[in-house]
Amino acid sequence: MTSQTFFFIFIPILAIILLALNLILAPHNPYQEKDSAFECGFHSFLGQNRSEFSISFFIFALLFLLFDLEILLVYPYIVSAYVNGIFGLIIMLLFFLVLTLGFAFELGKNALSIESRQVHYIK
Amino acid sequence: MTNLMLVPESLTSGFSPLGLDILSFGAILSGILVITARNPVISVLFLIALFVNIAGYLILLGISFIGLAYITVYVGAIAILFLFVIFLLDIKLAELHQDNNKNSLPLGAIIGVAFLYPLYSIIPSNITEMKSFSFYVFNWLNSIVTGQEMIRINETKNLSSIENFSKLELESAITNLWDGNFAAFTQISSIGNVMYTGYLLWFFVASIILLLAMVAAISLTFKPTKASSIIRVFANTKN
Repeated sequence: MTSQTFFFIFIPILAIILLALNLILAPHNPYQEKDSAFECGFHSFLGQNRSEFSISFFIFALLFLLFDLEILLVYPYIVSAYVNGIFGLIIMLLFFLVLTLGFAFELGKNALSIESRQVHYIK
Repeated sequence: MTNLMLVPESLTSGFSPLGLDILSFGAILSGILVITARNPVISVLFLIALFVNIAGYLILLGISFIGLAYITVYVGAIAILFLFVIFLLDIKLAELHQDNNKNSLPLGAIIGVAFLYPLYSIIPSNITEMKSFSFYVFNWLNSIVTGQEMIRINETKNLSSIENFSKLELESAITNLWDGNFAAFTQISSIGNVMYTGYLLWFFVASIILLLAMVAAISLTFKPTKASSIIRVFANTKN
């Protein structure tokens, strides 16, 4: 068994064991302060930016970064397609398929729509 | 005779090593200006300059794929993200314009020397850098700390081998026949040769990590829009 095989078997087992221990043995007493995100003691973000902005701007940049990394990982196939043959093509298509699933999820949730803040007055 | 040529080998894959020095000097200058610039936007711009300098350094070393990846990913996505966050935050510039960091320069110098001197005495260094300025500084520090110099530069009798070694020039043979280029792989094609055949499980791990990032970010920030909630209210009042 190579170290790579050991890695691939051992890491999911370890992660599942740690999650299961937390699920079984940890007490569960939530209240609102504990559930909210930890922001170094600050309670609200309202005083720290010039105006409220929606979070879909961040989603735009993050999705651009992720698909940029996907393109970057496809570059080596482009220059070595002859050497890798049909096997490499199938591997690259499987990689694309996994990320296309993520793309379909994002399209379905309509994640890239920014809510318009225009106020429509009816005259 | 076959068209073989001798090319002086250096770390820069045939380019002049002066370019490496210029790029590393530019990188250090940009790094210092990232920390000491007052306006945070100027700070991020110097961070972009730092990324471009390091990308040029990597390309000169011959690992061109990683260098271009630095420009594509770091400058193209991450530094832009930094810029947008800096624009959207309300940073009070009046507090930043106070000049109260002159006291910490001696402390910075002491910490810098205390970190770099043990580090450089442990890591193996290029012995062909005998005549460089940093080597003289390091030799002087050693003579103060340990009371003995590592290598006495002035005694040339005993050190002929080291001096000859410092003048060593490596050369590599290349050819301009076209069929020799089949055996000369660039860095990106050799990555492609390996990543899609021998190491494809790591490749799929990378794809699953990217998928996880996508799904997690979208589901954490998903807000049902007003249209879908209106439809839900309509459906509830119908029954």
